[in-house]
Amino acid sequence: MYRLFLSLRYLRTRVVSYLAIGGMALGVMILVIVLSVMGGFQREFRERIRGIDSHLTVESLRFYGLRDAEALCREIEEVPDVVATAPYIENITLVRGVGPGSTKDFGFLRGIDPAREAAVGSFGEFLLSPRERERELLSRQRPPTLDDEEDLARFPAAVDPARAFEGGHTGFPPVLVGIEMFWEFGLEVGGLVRCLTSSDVERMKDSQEETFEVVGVFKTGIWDNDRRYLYAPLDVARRFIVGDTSRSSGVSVRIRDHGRVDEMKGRLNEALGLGLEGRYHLRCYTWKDRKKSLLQAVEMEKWLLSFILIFMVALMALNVLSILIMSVVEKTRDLGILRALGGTSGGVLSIFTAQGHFIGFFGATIGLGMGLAFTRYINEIADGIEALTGYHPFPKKIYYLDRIPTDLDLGEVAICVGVVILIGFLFSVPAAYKAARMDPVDALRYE
Amino acid sequence: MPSGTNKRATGGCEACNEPLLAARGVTRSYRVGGQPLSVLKGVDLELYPHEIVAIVGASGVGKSTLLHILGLLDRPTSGEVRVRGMDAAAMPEHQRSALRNRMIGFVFQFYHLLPDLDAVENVMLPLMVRHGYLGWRHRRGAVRERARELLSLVGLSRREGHRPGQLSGGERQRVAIARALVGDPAVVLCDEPTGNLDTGTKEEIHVLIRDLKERLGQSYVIATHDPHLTTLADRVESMTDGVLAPRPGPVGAER
Repeated sequence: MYRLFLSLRYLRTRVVSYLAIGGMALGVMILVIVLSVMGGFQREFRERIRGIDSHLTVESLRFYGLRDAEALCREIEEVPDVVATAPYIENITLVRGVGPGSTKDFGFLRGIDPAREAAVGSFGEFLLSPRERERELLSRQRPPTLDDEEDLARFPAAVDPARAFEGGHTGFPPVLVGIEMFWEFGLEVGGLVRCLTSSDVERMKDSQEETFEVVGVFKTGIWDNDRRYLYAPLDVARRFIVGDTSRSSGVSVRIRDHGRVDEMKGRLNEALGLGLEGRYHLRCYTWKDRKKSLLQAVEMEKWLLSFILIFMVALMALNVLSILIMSVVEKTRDLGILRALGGTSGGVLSIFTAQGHFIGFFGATIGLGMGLAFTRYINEIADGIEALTGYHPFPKKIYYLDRIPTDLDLGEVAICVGVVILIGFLFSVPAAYKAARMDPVDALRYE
Repeated sequence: MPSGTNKRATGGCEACNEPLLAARGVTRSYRVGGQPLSVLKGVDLELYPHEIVAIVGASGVGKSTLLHILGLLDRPTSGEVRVRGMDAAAMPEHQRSALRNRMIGFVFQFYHLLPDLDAVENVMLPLMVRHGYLGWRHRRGAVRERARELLSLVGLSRREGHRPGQLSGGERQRVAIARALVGDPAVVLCDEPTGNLDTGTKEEIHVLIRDLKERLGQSYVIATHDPHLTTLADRVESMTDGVLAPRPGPVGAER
């Protein structure tokens, strides 16, 4: 009985044990917050990556693409759980703004049918309405004020994806440009860009050139896409890239449940006989296949972070160890007394392991509570910080997100809390062992 | 076994004739800086029920070491220690701890109370050690009551809630004595119980031990170099050079 009594008493009467619990709680809180924000980012990021492209694409490996995309589309649509299809053509181009001081860079020109593209992916959501576009451009120069909002009100707030390519004035074919290219090239709506492409490796010198009129801007939230991509009407792009309107690079496919994308890939492969006789040049890719490098980066980031968090856990472990060793040293005489009163060395040992348990348990519980509360109100806290200091810890400009995303994986949290409790236990053992090995006679000898 | 002189005057029962504690040929040596240092060189001592044995001798002569060995806190280098006839040297540590808890109470020169506990809790401690988690809940009240009784026996009923730091030296020693007695041991081992106290307080502790012995019936071994304290003793053993020799006690022998 004395073991529980004394370990609680020692815990309660020592400031350091509150500090230890506090340190532990702080550590757990940070673990929970970091894991959940990281999880939120990861989820957000994956969703965004997924949103850029359609769930699946069936692509041709042939240089000139596939000939009858519409027939392929019909065939794909017959596969159960396929919701929509859209043919596209895509090629690398050189892009140059027309006008003084304009830059050039490479990019990808993608020909699409806007209505069908909107049906297979998030094209419609990425299109910026004139008002959104102006606000975005303005916010890159200075923080928008209320007056600016009044100004912006004169721009239309909505845009119809099906009519995304309409509204040109110059007679040149229309093109949509990513916000980053638009900003860096200093383009404007109604302005011109010149594209250069070649569809034949044998005759690279015979390149095609076309001038387009910028009719709109899109923003996917992935810098690379917003910097490199231009969208043109499908037939315009076909004529520009291969010279006639029969070719397509592939077909974008939307399925009912994006979680089953791998399963659907298998189903498409089977139903269409992709890669087999007569279809050997066709391949089916999921969005994960196509964005592997980005996804890997996200995975890597999380892994690396977990690795760094291990050091924090180690810090907590040392915290427990040092406090318990201090406690043992401070309590040397008490331990001798307890032995004289009939306590066994094992009993004395358990006083200290129990202290470790309590520190671990209370620290983890309190930390978990604080972490959950912090995560729950993280955006309110961020707003509070901004109101106090004028500095927002989570600038939208950098993260492309309005709110701090959080996503708590209960399994991760359980592991995290379990590890902390385990640390409390394991790292109290050396201290307790030191206590148990002490000779009671030595402990009692002197005042 | 027991010689006639060692018998209690009130003795006669069989249990009384068996020594509570018996040390035979106990030696204890340490290694200090690589050199063996012999502290006890063959100590024989028997302690019978209801008697007080005083051990006198200069400091550092090995009185504390002998008490530690008698109290099963330390093991002799050679020789045997029997507690109610049982060979304690042969017991595993946890059994010795249990035996120590039930049979022996310690009183130290420096009181050795736990500073984090108040007086009652300090007194309760041996019984807390004795009982496990399960037995404790329904015993708790009785143990506390017993601790209170003992505190009032030593004259401290008003200081129950005080921590050792709030008590005087004499008061602390009274708490320590109450703690030594709470588990109803057969033997109380006192190591210089008055060594740290002023003359008046010494006298109080002296009287207290005498009264408690009469009331509760424990046997005492008191290591001391306070000649006054030896007047309590039934026997006085003098320790010199690591061995004990009987010394006729001026008063104690008569009792």
